[in-house]
Amino acid sequence: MEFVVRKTDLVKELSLVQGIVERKNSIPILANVLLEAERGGGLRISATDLDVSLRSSCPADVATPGALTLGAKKLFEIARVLPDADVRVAVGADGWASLECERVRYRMAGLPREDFPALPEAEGAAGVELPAAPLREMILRTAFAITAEDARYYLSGALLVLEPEGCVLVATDGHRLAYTRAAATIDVKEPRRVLVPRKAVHELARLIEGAESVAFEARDAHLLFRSGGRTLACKTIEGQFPAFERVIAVTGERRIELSRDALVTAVRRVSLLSSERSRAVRVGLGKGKLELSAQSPDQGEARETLVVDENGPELEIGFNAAYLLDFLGVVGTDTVWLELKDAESQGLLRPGGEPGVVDYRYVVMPMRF
Amino acid sequence: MSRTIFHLDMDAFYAAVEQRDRPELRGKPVIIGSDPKGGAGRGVVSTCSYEARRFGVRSAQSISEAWRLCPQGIYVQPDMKRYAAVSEQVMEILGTVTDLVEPVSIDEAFLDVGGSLRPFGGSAEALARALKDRVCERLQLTASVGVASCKLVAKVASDMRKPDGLVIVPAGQEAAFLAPLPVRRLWGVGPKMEERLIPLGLHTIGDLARADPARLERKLGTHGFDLQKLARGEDDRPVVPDRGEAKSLGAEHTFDADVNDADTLRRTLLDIADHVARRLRRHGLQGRTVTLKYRDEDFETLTRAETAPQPTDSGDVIFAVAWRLFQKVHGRKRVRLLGVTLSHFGAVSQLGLFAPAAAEASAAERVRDALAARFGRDAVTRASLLKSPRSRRVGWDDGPAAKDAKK
Repeated sequence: MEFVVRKTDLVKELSLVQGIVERKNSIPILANVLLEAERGGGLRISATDLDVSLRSSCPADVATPGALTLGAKKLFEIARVLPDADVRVAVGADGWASLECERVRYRMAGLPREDFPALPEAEGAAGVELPAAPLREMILRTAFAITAEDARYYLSGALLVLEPEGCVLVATDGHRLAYTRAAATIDVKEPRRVLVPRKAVHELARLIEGAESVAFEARDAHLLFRSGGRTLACKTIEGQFPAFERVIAVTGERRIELSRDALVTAVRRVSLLSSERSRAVRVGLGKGKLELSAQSPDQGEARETLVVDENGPELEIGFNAAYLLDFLGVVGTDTVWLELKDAESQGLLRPGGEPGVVDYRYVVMPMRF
Repeated sequence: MSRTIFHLDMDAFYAAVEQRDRPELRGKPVIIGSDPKGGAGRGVVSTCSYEARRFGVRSAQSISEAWRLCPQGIYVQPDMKRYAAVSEQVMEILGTVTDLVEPVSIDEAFLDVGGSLRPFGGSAEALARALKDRVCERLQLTASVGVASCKLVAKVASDMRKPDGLVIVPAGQEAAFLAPLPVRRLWGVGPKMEERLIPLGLHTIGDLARADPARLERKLGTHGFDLQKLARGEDDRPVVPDRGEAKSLGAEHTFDADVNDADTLRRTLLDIADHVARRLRRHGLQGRTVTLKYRDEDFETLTRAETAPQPTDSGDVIFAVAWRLFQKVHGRKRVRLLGVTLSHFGAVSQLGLFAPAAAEASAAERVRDALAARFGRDAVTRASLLKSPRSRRVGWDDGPAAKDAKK
């Protein structure tokens, strides 16, 4: 095998597959990327952790077609520090790979391609087109809420719903739920629901950054996303995602608009004295003010008041500070709406200002003191 | 600065209360515990009077063993409500001496009296005598008091001259006081630890105090280091006053005959879980930690605990955890006793979106509570418990854990 590739192309594709390769892995071949020099020209680069895989490609002059695998992390480190020029990659009879770039030479031990697992292939032009920019925005606003607990596998991904007139992405850990919806014309006859695993959700956001659209296809218990010559594939999660519609349909009776910055700062300040385990802050609403407070039995208490335009009866509710900060960190607007009902019911947070392309709602269950 | 700690321990508490209230029992061997059933009883001795101790009867002994040793004894079933009321009177008297009263159980407490010595000319002995007199005068019950600079030594001292004892260990004498005593007297050394210490040639607390720390650590882990500190009379644990809150709540059941039938065990555990849950709800408590107590036919006792993220007062949830723990410890041996305790109350809890009430008692359980309140405990029960005519007869031992639960 022998080919020549631009250093910048190689670095870009290798950087994309880094997220797929698991750092801790008991199967050595999974720490490698598969490099395939194709007969008609072009280089294919693939990585997998057996659940999620990514194939990408870039232009290359192929002298001798062939394939081998090399350590993904080390190859990326090397490619990054090479001079900005053409890189010649060849495999000798001993199975070692040589990399030459101007006056730099590397020799690396590889593993044969036969050991590399087979990856699901996309089928030509099949698939549903989804708009990339709104989808990426939806991922950035929901992915943090995907549960980190493996026990609740049915929540360990985001639910993607494709409808003729829009697409929905929802994630939850059972305590809070992030919902996004973008209006779009999507080529499906009836709504389709798939659960996309956490890791694939994060990789999808990277895959479609700056892209126009992404083609989606579900086949043989796999989901495939294609964009710009790259294919992200993952296994679907089998499981029943909870009925989120009921949760987001409930709107609070008390509705206040708050400066995002003021709220973030207040939550951060006050939560310094919330108990470390629960991170609970109390939110008290009444008579034109919103009072945030926290206390920890061994450390003391903190309090901050925000002025609000609301004069209903007093209401006190507790929230996990981390859950509030997660939303405020990604909402991206100057103001936010907070809707409350009572101390036992969920709170709803939404972006303030003019409605954007994406309808975003964040539901948080309270903490009971 | 050296502290002055009292450990006050009521003498043969349950038996003494019975003898006080029933003069015909005075001077007789009184044994408080479960029904001995003519020597076939299955429970244990809670307490016995000093007269009974002369026959070799001891608390925690099986009741049938007590019967064998002392068939002429007067066997009385415990009346926990009455003892708890007397206990409250005792704690109230202790509270007149200092605010720093830490009840350890229904009949003993630590007091940090450092700030209360002035009226007694700085004499701990004078204060201790005054306290004992006050208890005796008001309640006609005797107590033994140990006085020392730390909790450990005070506790050992209170046990030295029972009943009606007073032992004062002067500051600086702690290690010398402990040295000749068997290791078993040390707090934290139970029968299991004793079995590990004896083969190492460590028979007395003094042996343990003098042992090579490196060797101890090798043989016993870091626990060895802590034990040695205690053996040297070094114990800086403070007296933590009780805030009147329950720390745990539980119940246990001793089978009439050792049981190996999975179905019976399962139903009994379910019944205990229901009982504990009902009491939790009555006290308005929810706990996060479920502890299973398991005693097999050889009297070997194991406890296993699991802590859930959500507090619960639901019999279903408690049973599910207890059953899981049970399956981990249950082997081939027959089971003598099962118990379930809930603890870790009052923590802030995060409510859930989709199953907000999963860890809480279901509506059905609450309805059952309401019916039970009007028509008695068995007005409505689980179908699975109905199958067993015996479950109706299951007697509840509210267990030692219940002692902590006040109001």
